[in-house]
Order: sequence, then C-alpha cells, then structure tokens
Amino acid sequence: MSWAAHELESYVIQKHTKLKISYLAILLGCLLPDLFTKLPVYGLHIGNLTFLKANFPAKYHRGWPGVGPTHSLLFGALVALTLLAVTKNRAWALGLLAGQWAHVLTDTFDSVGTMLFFPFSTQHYSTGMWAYAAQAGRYGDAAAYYSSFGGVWDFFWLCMALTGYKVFRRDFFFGTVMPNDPAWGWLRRRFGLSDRALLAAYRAWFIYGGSRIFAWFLWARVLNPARGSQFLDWSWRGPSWVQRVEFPARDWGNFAQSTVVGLVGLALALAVIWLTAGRRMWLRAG
Amino acid sequence: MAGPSSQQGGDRDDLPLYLVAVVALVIGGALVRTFLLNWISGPVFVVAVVGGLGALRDRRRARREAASDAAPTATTAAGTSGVGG
Repeated sequence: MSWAAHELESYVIQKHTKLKISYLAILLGCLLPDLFTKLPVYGLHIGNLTFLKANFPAKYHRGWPGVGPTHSLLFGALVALTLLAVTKNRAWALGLLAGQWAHVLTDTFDSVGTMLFFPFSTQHYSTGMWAYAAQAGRYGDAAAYYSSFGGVWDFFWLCMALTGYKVFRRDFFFGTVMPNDPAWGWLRRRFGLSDRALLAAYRAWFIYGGSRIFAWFLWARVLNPARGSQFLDWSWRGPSWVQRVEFPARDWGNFAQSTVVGLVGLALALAVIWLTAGRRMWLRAG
Repeated sequence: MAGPSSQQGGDRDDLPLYLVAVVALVIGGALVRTFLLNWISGPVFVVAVVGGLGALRDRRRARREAASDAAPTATTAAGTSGVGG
C-alpha cells in the first residue's frame, strides 16, 4: 500500500482543482479506505501476544470476502452521496469523493492492487511497482516499503505536493481553504485555536507525511536490526527479499471480460445513483 | 470571508518552529516509530510543537519588549539629573 502518499495526495488535489472543495473532506477521503480496516492487517500487539490479526492480510484488506470493497470506486461514490445527504454540503461531498478515489487509484501501484469495479468485478488492478508486504507485520512492511519503489513513490508525492507550495501559504489557507469549509471555524471556536495553531493544523498532515518518509527510511536503513538481509532494492516488483502477494487474473481474456463488465457496471450504477438521488441532493445542497 | 484575527506567526517568522517539528518527527519517529508515526499522533505533535513553541516565543518577546520599554525611562531620568547639575 502507499504510506505517506495518502497524506500528501490531499494537498496535490487541492492545488489542481478549481471547484469549491473542502480540504478536510479530501483528507478524510484519502484516509477513509484504511481508517477502520487496517488493524486486522497488522494485528493488535500486546507484549508477545497478537490479537485480531487476519489470517490472510492481503485478502482481508483488499479482497473479497474482506474489506476490499472500501478500496473500490463505487464505495467512494456511495459514501460521498451519504455525506451530501447528511451535510447538504457540496464541498464536503466532492472533497471526500476526490480523496477516496485518489487513495484507491494510488493503491493500484503495489502488487495486490485494488478491486476498482467491485461489486461488478472482483478483478484486482495493479501495476505491481512494489511488493505488498503487510503480511510481514508493521515493521516488515515498513522495511519493505522504504527499501523499494514504495519509498520512491512517497518521495514522488512529496515533490508533487511541494510543486504546489502556494497551497501551504498563510494567505491561501485564510483566503481559500477556510472560507470553503465551516469546519475550520468550528475547530477554532471549539478548541480555542490561535491563527498559528489553526494554520499548523492545516499543514500538519503534510509535515507529518513528509517527515515520516525520512523517519521510516532512517529506521529501515540505519536502525533496523534486519537491515543486512532487508536490503535496499529499487527494482520493479521489489524488494526481492519479501514474499510477494498478488491476485492476478486467470488470463488476458478473463481480465478483459472483467474490465468491460466492471466499467459498464460502474458507469451504469453511477448514472442510476445520480439520476435517482444524487442530482436532487446536489441541487438542494449549498 | 474568514481571515486571520491577528498578524501573529507570519510564514517566515514561524519557519524555525516547523523545522523543529520536522527534525523532531524524523529523529524521534525513527527511534519510537509507531508511537509518533501514526496519523493521529504525528499531526497532533506538529500542532503542539508549532502552536506551543510559538506561544512561548511570543510571550518571551512580549516580556522583552515590556522590559526594554521600561528601561529608557530610568536612563532618561539619570541623564536629566546629570545635565542639570
């Protein structure tokens, strides 16, 4: 999976959209697929005991049966529609949709990928740039990710976020981000936040996301007791020292069929959702 | 339209605070890992460092300014009595 990329995507999306959109909703969307699903992937560790760990983490996390549907495009559309119905806020609904779709698409870069068109197809879409390694536990996963193209991927998103540095400026936050989202005013009042703290809260996921790339890389390459065997491997599909998990299609014919069925199914579903409920809610919202 | 309620913490002025947060996160994160490097603790840490250190710095500046405002009055009084004598 992508690590820091999911924190950094939100700023890149913000920079490239001309629509009125909530940054907080984009961030929530970027985090949503893993928000309540990640615990069983690594398990809960208390001392030497492990609880709640899935038997097959990759299948649980991205597959079906499992919580793989949280990493589908239709899931994002349905959650965004629900949010639109509850909040009557277009900026929030759009932001959440954009963030969730960004997460789903960037997770296609590891070897397990995502079921983009679930429930119309359970085909996994993956470029296989780096090996999915969550089955190795949190530290094994971190070592694998930051010793492979995964870390390069995170660094790419850091650079992408930095090219849009204007979105981090104080005038952008107070002039564009805050007026687009009443949640910032609520945060200021509820927690008595100063301008400095509010601005820091907006920038916080960028600072955290960018810093953790270097923190985990430092750990993987300098402090990791297994760094000798868990070496740096920037080859495609690497690192070679981790057990690679994938869900390939049976053959190209099966892949093509699943893709056509998935695409048509998703397009029809989105059209039905829009025509029966979405359009009415959109027009009623502000 | 919402705007800043004060001019405290300009971008350049607060840059050292962010640098402290980054260095602390990178080094501290490599050492304690999950305790600091998670999507709740990490951002909260950033806000605490920037907001907390920034508030401390503002208070120290205000005290220094108050002290330097008081000092010229004492100097002026001494100078005047010297001139008169």
